[in-house]
Amino acid sequence: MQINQLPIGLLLQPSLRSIAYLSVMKELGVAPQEVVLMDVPISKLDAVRVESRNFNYKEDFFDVDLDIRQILENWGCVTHVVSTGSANDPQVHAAIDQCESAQIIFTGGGILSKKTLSRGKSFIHAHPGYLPEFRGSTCFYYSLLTDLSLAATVFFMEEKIDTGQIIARQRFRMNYQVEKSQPLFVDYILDPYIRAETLKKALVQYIKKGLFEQKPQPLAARPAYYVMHPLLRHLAINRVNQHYNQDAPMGVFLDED
Amino acid sequence: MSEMESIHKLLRHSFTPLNLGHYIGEFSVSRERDIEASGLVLNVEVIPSTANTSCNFGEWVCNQLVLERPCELSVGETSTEVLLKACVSHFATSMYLPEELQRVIDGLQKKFEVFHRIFTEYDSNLRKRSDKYRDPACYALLSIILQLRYYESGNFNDINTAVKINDLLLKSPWSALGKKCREAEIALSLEKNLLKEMNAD
Repeated sequence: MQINQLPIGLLLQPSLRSIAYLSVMKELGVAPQEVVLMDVPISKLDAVRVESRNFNYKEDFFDVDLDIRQILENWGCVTHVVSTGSANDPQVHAAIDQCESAQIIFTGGGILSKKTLSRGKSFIHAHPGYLPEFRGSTCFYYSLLTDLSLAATVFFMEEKIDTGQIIARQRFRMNYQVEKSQPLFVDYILDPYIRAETLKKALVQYIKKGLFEQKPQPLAARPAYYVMHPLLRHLAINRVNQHYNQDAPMGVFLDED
Repeated sequence: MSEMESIHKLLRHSFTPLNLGHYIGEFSVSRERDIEASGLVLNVEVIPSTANTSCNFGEWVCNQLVLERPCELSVGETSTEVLLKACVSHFATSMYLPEELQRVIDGLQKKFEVFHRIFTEYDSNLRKRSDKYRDPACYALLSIILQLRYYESGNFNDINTAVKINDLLLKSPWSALGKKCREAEIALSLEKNLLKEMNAD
């Protein structure tokens, strides 16, 4: 398949999420023209690959065996490798300054510092919650716990958490039984999957129009959510399992916005 | 490891591995064990049920703490404990918090989530006015208010912070252990009742 390089950069913190993002780019036949690649190992990768073989994540979600370095090489992306795992490290700043792209998709987590955000680039992030209702940390768990909803939003990052201009939002329906032997599914497959599918929506828009259309984000009525306690994360998963309908197709499906 | 480092470690929940088969059961057993060891006495049987829509949890808490109500005061003019008790009495009289107190509770919740401690005194801009942060009553009262607010709003952010505070009430270096802290008993009783109801959903 021919790959079309887009004038977009990628700030790539290796993770299952990065693999999911590269998977949708591969599916769309597009690639970033340049990448700032943090040279750090992927957390839990071997364990996720074992779980993936047992539960066929490749068919229903994304291919966790995709090799990040190999695919970037195949696509001919200009790659700046930095030996840090922090997006706010001076090495990353120097690499970003070398990038030609005005817009950079950030694949990592955490907060980008003022120094990182003020390098003359626009950073794009995929957040696992419907903004502005669900902003903050571990939002897909809060969303599931509140009303069994699931969504993600792609937006331009600002200094304030999850407040920037919205590029794309996507809701999902979930009918899934999380087995006891799938301890990594929610954090390492489901979360990256919904982000990547929403990023795909944003990229499709970019491919059609040559730009990311954006609209202002309404003011949030509630404070941002905080990192969820494991007890509530379990209650959220229990709620998903309690509502699993074995007579309906199993999976995670795109829903109308 | 310093006291605050041990508290940060206790509350570090990002990407905690999930044991899907046993976690909730293990959590309940461990909670019971910690409560028993602390000498705190829970009385969950007398908490009103959420199935009873006319029940007023604020009133129940006020009665348990023997608080007068209503109690009007301005933020910054009093201690954290007195301010939080005033919030509880507001729940007893109107089942919600006025805007100004909502903002104070949001601010204290954020401080707890970010810094993992609550000081015994703040000024009107929620800047600390004291270096003391080891008073279990302040933490327990914040946990109680967040749980009362959860009953009112259904916002899981509130119950989430309350569970974390309750962890510290039992496990931190300044825990309620052996202190006969009535506020901690109520915070943990509300949590037990809430989890029973959430699990039964």
